[in-house]
Order: sequence, then structure tokens, then C-alpha cells
Amino acid sequence: MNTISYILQLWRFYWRTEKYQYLRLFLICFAIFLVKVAILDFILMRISSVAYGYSQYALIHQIYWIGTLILISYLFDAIHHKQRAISYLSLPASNAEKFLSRFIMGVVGVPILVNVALLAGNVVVTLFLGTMDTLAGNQPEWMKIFFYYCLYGNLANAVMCDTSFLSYFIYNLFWSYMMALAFYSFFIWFGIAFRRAGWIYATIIIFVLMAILVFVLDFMGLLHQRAPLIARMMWSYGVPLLSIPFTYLAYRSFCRAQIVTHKFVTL
Amino acid sequence: MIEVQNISFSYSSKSAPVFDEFCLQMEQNKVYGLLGENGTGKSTLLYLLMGLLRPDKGGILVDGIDVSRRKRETLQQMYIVPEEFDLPRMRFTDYVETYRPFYPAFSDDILRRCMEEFHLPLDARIDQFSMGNKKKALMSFALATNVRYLLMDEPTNGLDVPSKKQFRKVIATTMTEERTLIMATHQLHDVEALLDHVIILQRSQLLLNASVADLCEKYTFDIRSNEALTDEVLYTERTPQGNATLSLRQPDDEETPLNLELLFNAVHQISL
Repeated sequence: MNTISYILQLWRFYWRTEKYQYLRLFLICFAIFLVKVAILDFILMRISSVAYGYSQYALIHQIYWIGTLILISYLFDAIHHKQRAISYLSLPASNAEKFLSRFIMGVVGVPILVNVALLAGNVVVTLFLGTMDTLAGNQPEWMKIFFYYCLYGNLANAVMCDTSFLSYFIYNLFWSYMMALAFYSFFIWFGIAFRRAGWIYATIIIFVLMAILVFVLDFMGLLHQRAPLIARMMWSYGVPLLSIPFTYLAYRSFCRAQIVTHKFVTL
Repeated sequence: MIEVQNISFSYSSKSAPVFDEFCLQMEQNKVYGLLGENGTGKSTLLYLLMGLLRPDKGGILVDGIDVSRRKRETLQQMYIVPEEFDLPRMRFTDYVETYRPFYPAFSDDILRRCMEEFHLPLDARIDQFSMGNKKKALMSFALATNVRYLLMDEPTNGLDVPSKKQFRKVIATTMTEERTLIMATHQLHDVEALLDHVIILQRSQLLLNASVADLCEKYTFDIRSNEALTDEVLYTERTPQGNATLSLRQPDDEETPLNLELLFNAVHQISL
């Protein structure tokens, strides 16, 4: 069998052994959305419309990115439990095949799972409440629901260009996904490497990275005022390129994974 | 062939090394017994042989390939039955369907024979099996994979007396010329009839590495009275039946079966 058929074989294996976990995760995402609607739409809106608008925007993004972080890092959960790690790491497939099969699940499967869960939640809310929960404003009415829950719109603002609607749609979606890929690959690395060092290390690292990100965003804001083209190019190409070192680190960490959980991975 | 080449391994930088400059060779078509007191590194060695742990120094070659690279071709020839394991929630037939595509030489016939010998139904839910039955089902699957190197950690733990007998029969009938079986165990009596080679570990060192044929040729294992304790006796233990002795075999002595427990105790007291 070649590598592609082996990856398909691994996906069949994951489905047979983990399908109930995926279903549970889907239902959790769906439930979180319903809770979010219940809290924000019926409580916060009555307090302040400004606070409602901001909180809705911020919260749905937090839900999305924290959700993807947890789900993607969960993909490699097996290697952090000795008994499951013995079974998984000794399964006859190469490190590259195992990693690639999980990587594709992480960068394609999980975003689809989360988006579909949130979309399903929105459909349910729409059916029962008769209101469409959306923040998107530039798209046709029927497309708002898809745009809103792609949740890449804010990332892609920097690459907006003055073209026809269809090319804008494809362009926007492509670049926003490329930017999101950097986050997904970071989450995969996080899921493989840092859980074995414990959540304390992971939390410290996340805070440091957030601080760096805030600094970079401030810098980009300043740069955008003085040299908007350069800022746009750096943002558009720089962020997607980050996915390369993160993916490499994730793969190296996976290759060196062992069944003991207290031995820090050395790259 | 498995070659362990000067490996050093510790679980953390602060803990004492489990292995330090450790070397070992294991040949094809033999049943190895990996023995040792608690904490001597028997399970660790199995995990290292399987590539599930990485040595800090040195390397382990299986058929000439570094096992820590976990290549598909290497893993297709190896299977480990750990002492404790998790089985997914499914029927055993589904379990087989899920895992068998990864093992090209899988044999339905061996699986059926092993499950029949263990009196286990093929279509039962494995998560509802008792611990002993789970182990028997997993060992049946392991034997059916037809891998070249089969590693078992405490294979008879959790098995009742009839099951231990079934286990010995199953192993004896499924061993082929291609296969090497390595069993790490404390249950010496359960496996002594199966072994071709004995490896005894102590504090990351090899205390004994000898074939059963050589041991039985060099030594005699028998029960003697106090009067018969002559100079050739190397080690003795008092038992209700008399003195269990390990002695140098004389040219006219008959070959005696291996007494693994006596040998194990002897090598911890004297140098053989």
C-alpha cells in the first residue's frame, strides 16, 4: 500500500475507534453555541446594545479559537496516555503517515466540525427564534450565515481588494484560511509537545505568545499608518508562512514522542 | 535479529539510569524469557525494543533497522502485548477488522484456533470481557498477526490456572521458525517449559544470558538430601521435599529439566 492508501486506512481506523468522541465534541460545540445565544441574546442585549455587539463579536471568536485549540490538541491525546500510546505508536504506520493523517484532520476536519456545529446551532436558533444571528454585513442575505461562521473575516480584512464579489469571496476565503493555518499548525504543535510538559508550561508559553502577538499587532498598526502596502504584505504573507515552522516543530515532536509522559520532548 | 547496542536510558535527567551501556543480541526463532526483580527494567527494555521509548545513547536495530525511527516495515513485523492495556468499546470481530489491515501476514485460521483454545466467542464485546479474557483475546490477536517479533509483558498475569495451561499450548502450537517471542515475566513456572533462552536482569546489567540447552548441559537441577550435598553443588535451597540444588553436571549425570526459580535465586547469590 502507498502512503495515501495508508492515510485512508488510518482515517478508517480513527473513525472506528474514536467516532463517539467526535460526535461528543460536535455536540459540545453545538451546546456551547446555544448557551452563548441564551446568555448574550437574552441577557446582555437587554443591558447595553453596545456591550452586546462587542461581546457577541468577541465571544464568538473566543469560542471558535479556544474550541479549535482544544479539539486540535485533543487529536493527539492518545500519545499522552501510556496505554493508548503503546497501542497507537506501535500501530504499523510510519511517523509521517500518522502525523499527516492527524494533521489533515486538524487543519480541515476540526474547522469543518466546529463550523458545522456552530452553523447547526444558528439554524436551530433561527428556526426557533425567527432571527438570524449574524455580524456579516457585506454579503447577500442567504450567504451571511456562512460568512459569519467562517470566522476568518477579521483576519482577512488586510487582504481585501477591490474586485468583483465572487473573486473577493474566493480571495478572502483563501487568504483567511491561509492565515488560520498558522494558528491550526501551532495548535497541533501545542497538542503534541506541550501537554507532556504539563499545562503550567503550556499556559506560560501561551501567555508569552499572546504578549508577542499583541506587540506585533501594535507594530503592524503603526506600520499600517506609515506604510500600508508593506504592512499589508507582511500580514498577508508573514502569518501564513508561520505555519511552516509550527508544522515542522509539530512533526519533530511527534517523531520523538515516547510513551512516558514526564519526559520533555527534545527537538 | 535484534541488536541492542550500548544503550543508556533513564526516565528523567534526575533519576538513576535504567540501562547504562547495555548490550544484548536476540536471534530469530527462539523464545526468550526476560526475568528480573521489580524495577530492573524488563518492561522498559520491551518498550525500547518496540521503539516506544528512545535510548538516550546507543541504538536498537531490528533486522538492521533503527527501531526508534518507527518505520512502517519494522512495525509490521512487531507486536507488543503490554501488561495493562485499553481496548476500544466494540465487538472482537470489529476489533479484528479495525486492526488487521495493518498486519499483512494476519491469519484468520490462527485467530480462530487461539480463540477456540481459550474458549472465547469471536463476536462478544471485548470491553465487557474480564481482565483475563481481555488478555487472552489480545494474545490471540497478537499471535494471529504472524509478526516476526512478538513481545509480551507479564503474559500470564491475570490468567487462571486452566488459562495458563491453554496459554502454553497456544504458544507452543503457534510458534514458527520465523518468529521470536520475548516474554518479560515474574511468573517463572508459567513459562519455564516454553523458553529457549533465559535473560536475567539486575540493576541495568545482564546477570545471566544463556540458552536453556546450555544451562541444562552445564548444570543439574534436583532435590537432594543433606548427605548428598557434595562439592559440585553450587547453590541450594531448603524445601519441604529436601534440598533443591543447582550443581555442576558431571559427565555421567542425566540431563534434568530447568528449574527456573532455583536458577533465578542462584544467580542473585552466586556467579554462574
